[in-house]
Amino acid sequence: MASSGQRAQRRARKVGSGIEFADHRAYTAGDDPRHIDWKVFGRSERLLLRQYEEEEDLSVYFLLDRSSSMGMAPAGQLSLFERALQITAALSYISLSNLDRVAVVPFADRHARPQRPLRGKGQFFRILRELSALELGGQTHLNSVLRDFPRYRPRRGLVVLISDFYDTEGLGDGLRYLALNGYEPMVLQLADEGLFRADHWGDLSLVDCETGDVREVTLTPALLRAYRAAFERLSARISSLSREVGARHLRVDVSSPFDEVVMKIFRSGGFLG
Amino acid sequence: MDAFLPLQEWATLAAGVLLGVALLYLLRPRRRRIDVPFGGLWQEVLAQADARSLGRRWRRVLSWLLMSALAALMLGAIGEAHIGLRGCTAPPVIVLRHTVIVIDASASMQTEDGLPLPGRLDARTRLEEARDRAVKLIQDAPRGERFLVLSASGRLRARCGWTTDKQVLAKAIAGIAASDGGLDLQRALDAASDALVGRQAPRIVFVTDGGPPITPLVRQLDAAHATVHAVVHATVGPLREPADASPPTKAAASRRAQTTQAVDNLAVERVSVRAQPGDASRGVLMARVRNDRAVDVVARLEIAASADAQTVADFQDDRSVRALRSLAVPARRSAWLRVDDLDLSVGRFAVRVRPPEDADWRDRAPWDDWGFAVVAERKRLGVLLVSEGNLFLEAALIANDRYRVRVVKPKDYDPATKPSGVQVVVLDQVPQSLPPGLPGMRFALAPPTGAPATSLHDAGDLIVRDHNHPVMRGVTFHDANLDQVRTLPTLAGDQVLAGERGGGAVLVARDDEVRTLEFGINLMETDLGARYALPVFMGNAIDWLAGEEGGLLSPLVLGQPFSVQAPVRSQMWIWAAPNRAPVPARVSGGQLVGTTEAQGVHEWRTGESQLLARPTRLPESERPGLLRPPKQRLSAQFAPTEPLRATTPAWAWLLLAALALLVVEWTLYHRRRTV
Repeated sequence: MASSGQRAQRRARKVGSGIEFADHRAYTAGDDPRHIDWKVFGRSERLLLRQYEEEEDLSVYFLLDRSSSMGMAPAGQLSLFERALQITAALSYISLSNLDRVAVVPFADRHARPQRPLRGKGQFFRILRELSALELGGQTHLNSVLRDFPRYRPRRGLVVLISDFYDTEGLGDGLRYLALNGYEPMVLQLADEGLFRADHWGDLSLVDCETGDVREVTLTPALLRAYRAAFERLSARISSLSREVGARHLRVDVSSPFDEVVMKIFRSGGFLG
Repeated sequence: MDAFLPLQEWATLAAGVLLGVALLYLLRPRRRRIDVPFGGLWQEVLAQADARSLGRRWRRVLSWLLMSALAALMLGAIGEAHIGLRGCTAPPVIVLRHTVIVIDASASMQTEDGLPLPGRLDARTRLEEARDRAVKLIQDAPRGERFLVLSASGRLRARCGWTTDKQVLAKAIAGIAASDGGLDLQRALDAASDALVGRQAPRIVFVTDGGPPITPLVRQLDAAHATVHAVVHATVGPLREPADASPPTKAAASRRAQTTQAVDNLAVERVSVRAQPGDASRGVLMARVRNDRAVDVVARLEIAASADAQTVADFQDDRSVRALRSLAVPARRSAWLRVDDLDLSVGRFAVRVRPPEDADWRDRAPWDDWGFAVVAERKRLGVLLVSEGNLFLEAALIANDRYRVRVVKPKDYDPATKPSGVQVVVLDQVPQSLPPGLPGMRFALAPPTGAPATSLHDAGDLIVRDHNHPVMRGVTFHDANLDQVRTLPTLAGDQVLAGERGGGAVLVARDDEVRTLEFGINLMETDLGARYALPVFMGNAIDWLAGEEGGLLSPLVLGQPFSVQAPVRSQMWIWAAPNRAPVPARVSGGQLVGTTEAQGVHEWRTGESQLLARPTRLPESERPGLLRPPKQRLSAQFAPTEPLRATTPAWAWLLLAALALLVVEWTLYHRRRTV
């Protein structure tokens, strides 16, 4: 995992500089010969490098979708955006507590310019202020955002992408691009299960809240089932793209209790050190 | 279509509603706007549904059609539409009236009138015509008229309670079947009038074939204040209210054709079976067949026997047939059939009469074509012989162990006193008359005291005139060597069994209330006393006089109360009538009493004892020869004053259809809701 080089509570696998032995790996040209395990070479005549785990700080970037679709809320429940803010705040606090560096990168259009990451618990309230100042608006262009983010050459680290992934262009190779640039992506897909429980049937005009496009449908149970199937296909595509780059994909129902959501993220691994 | 509203108003209302439905569909409804987070997914879903876009376009038109039909059906249901063609006039005024329909279900209603219908071997029976007439009457009645249906034969049966439901009434009428018995008209009309007491606008409609006289009984119905209509087959015109229907009239609109015209009918009147003297396992069957036609008929007769058969169907098994015979029956007369040397090992016999095979006519009354007989235990008879020592006669009687013979001298004989334990009296050359109420026979050359003198003739021999009479079975008088005979005067109804060559009657049977035989000979002056024929003749004569000519129990008269002497004393007799489950029999004073309408062999049982009877005799009122009306069709007779059209209430069906359409609409459009 990419780190900033300062000591922290998060363990990073780094050759040589750590204290605790972690593993061996085969020697390749260019490796520092000081890290060769000569004892092993004496027994097996194989050149292996000793690797140590080193606890270092980590840069955590929260790419937060603030497009209009995130503002949809089931009656009497939080919107996707509000839930996203909650998750971001919670994970930020944990990251800051672990002496990691945290940056919130809201995006809505094609650009995601990261701010300078903050470090230390004392910065938590600043992050909260940043979060509370965010406003909804714009369309989602995930592929562009993911390709745009590394251009600002932020330090490598964990990139938590929080979005509903409602993008007509799709993710494309954004995640792959992110991974190739040394970032470790983590995908949090917010979903609203209430969309599959229709309150209205019959002839409806469906208005896209981002584009304003209108589609006339006769909503029937069969059509709603087809809609759910389409959503599941979208979710499967996101999961598949995530797996391809070694990223974790979590689908979070906005109506689930907040503590369950956080525990689910923790149980998925990768976030806690 | 007939509806509660006049047709024009109904059509205007329907047009308005349908126009409204059409307008609602023509006006494009505003669709509800729903914000969705991502239209792309819906785009993907709708792209898959584009293949059904044609259906979606037509769905709207189809929906409009369905809703229009739905509205029309609902309107029809609200208007209580009826299927029929009564026209555009207002419906008849609803008047609550109570009508008792009495349908004659006696045996004569089985008569088939007219020619066979297409596709059927038999013609319609009178009962079918009566049922149809009753149903038409009900269907044509205005709403609010309540009916009670009774079927009347020997017994009365209510087919349904007071109701206005025409379907229930039609079903009740369809269940009426003709019995084998007669009609108790008095009881039927009494019951009908009783049911109408205190009811509004009472009316009795009596549907019959015109057998019994109705008018005298109708006069007795004043208490019910009922208007009585008798719908008599082929005799009454259109059924309509009397002109002076208010105040309630008791006049009977009945006319009836009671005719004795000849009809195409053969009937078995009597059947009897008798064991041969000296051999109880063999016997003779006698059957009396009546021909109601105007011409002579050679009838075909089937004699069937069975050990346990009870009904007509039981005897129709081919294995039961014992003999086939032909019998010439004079026009409108009866004739006896005699079948000798029958095996009596099975105890039940049936005789069926049918027209000749090449006949071009059909028997109109199939219900009297069967007669039944059983071989029953014969009773011991007490015989009083009044004779001055005629040993031939005494020996002929004593030879038969079924008779308890008591011999008295003429001087000890008192005709005014009825001797106890005696069923038959035999007077040999005694001038006194027979005791009152006792059957008997007289051998005398001299007429009884007070009777006109009769002539004596020299006669060497006697000619048997009626071999088929039960008294003459197995008897011949050849070579009797008679010195003198007395020719007897005959009255109407007398049967001459034997006579002299000159034509004079010598042996006469009289079948009145009390049977008598008059034999104008003196046995002491003939060789007859020494012949085997004498004990046979005396056995025949005593049995016939005592009503035991067939060795049978008395036949039951269908539809009328009967009483049968129980052979043993018991209060627990079980009675099994043909086609009926066994039931406890009613016992009164040693007599089994009751009524029956089932033709066939009846059984009574108690313990080890068994009693059989044969109900083959029909009441006189049910004889086809008396009942036969002119052959006319009901359709021609009952010319309706207004078109007789059945109207069926259809509102319930319309409502059901509307609901069905609603379900279709609901399913087809998946609970579509337009705002």
